[in-house]
Amino acid sequence: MDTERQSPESDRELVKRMLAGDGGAFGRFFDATYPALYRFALARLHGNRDGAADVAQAVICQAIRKLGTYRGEATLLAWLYTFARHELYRHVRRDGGRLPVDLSEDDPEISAALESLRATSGGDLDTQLDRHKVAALVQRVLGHLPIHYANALEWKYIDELPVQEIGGRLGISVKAAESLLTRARLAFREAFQTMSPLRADGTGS
Amino acid sequence: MTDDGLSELLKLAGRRAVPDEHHQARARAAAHAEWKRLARRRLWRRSLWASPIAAAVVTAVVLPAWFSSPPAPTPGAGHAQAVAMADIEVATLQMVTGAITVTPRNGDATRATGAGLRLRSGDRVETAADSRAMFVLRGGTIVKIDSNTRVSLDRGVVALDRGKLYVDADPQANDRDVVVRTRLATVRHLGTQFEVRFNGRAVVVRVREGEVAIDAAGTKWPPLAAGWAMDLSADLRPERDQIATYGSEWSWMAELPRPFTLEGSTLRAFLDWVSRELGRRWQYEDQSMRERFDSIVQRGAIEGLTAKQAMGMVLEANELSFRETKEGLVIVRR
Repeated sequence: MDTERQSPESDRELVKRMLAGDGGAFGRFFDATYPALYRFALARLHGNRDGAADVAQAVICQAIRKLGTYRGEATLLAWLYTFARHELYRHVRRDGGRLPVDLSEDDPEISAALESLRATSGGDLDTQLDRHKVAALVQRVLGHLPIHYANALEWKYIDELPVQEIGGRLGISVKAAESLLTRARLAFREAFQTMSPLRADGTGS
Repeated sequence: MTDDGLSELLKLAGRRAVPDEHHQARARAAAHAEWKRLARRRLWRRSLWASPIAAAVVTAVVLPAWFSSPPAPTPGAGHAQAVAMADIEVATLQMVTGAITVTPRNGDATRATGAGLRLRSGDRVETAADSRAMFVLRGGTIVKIDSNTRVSLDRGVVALDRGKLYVDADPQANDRDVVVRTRLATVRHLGTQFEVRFNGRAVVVRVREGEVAIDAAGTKWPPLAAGWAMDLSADLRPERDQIATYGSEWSWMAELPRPFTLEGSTLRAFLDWVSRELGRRWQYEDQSMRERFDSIVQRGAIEGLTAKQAMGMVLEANELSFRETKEGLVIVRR
């Protein structure tokens, strides 16, 4: 999972290096996956930061123990999220079921809100949807993107950094950064459409 | 979705949450420990398959180097370490079987946790019916806690609220002043291995090696030596009994073997470790074996094995075996 690209092929290589004892590979693996796992858990534990940290740690440790079984059929992050779902269930059970946890990719509340929007088709996102729910959906979409895509989008559209600086942060040329941003935007749109019943232009299907 | 629409959505969502440094440092340490174990296990498997077992002068061994040394600083953990030090780190969890919980003194929520966690002054560690834990105090003394046990940690003090704990104070450990405190008595080690059990009504101290000093209600009892147990009930009338220093009564702690790195060490060092873990002396079948025990360097890993399991494997790879006698373990040729 290098900064240039994230694919099952590059993930397989990363895992291979980790299994061979490459400390640098371990560092890249941890930096690329732990924050994503933390956010994945946080969104499903309704902001419980300690719980999310515990879940993310448990997941990353379990995944390392089973690293030899990773076949590269999905991205490493997608593979890790399967562990995370199980761990979230365990976490809630251990906690006596006190914490509400949402494990569905289609949060019922988000879906309901989006369905409402669909019924009124063509309306403005800000006025017709609970902004909080849309924000949560966007966060989930970002969580499913390769970490460097999500970083690049955040730097570009929230921090409004110039492409040159984004390239600098990723250690790639301006041209490569532009190309990466294009791929990131495309990936975001695709993921957003997959994960919501909305069309990306805000209308119902 | 236009570029503007995408920008609007991202701005609406805001920055993604970032795990705090303390959590991240803790997770990195735990993940690193898992990864080291995995890498060593694979290395050992490779080396085992690479060489014919019959020619195995080269053996196996186990517990990862990180395990026997003080916890290494984790990359990017500077701030977390500073925060932890302010709370006084008193121990590090080294091994956990099953699920355990740690409750910090500051009232933060109880959390399930695993190996690698730095324990701080005031932390309460609790095992369930199916879990055990081992932690190492800052000076190097090992403390193992059995199932259904609750302990609280402070600097130099392990308070046993209930259950069983085992202290393995290696002669090289640098915390001679460690005490185990229960509501009925305080047990101070004098360079030793011992177990303390407390059920709320009585405390039982069993000494495997060395001796311990016991202080109850202002009374200092004569030191309790290896092979002896003292049962002290709430009426403070002690009963002393001779006990075996090995066998089933000591088996629970064998599930949590003291860290040992054999990679590069001698067979003698390995057997000394086994001896300490099992509470049994060892000897050669004949003195002609002596040189071999001091010169053969062991290699590999036996991660996850108890001392007895590891001994079987390592001796086999060295074309040796053992038999148990009343006096201890006798190492014999195969």
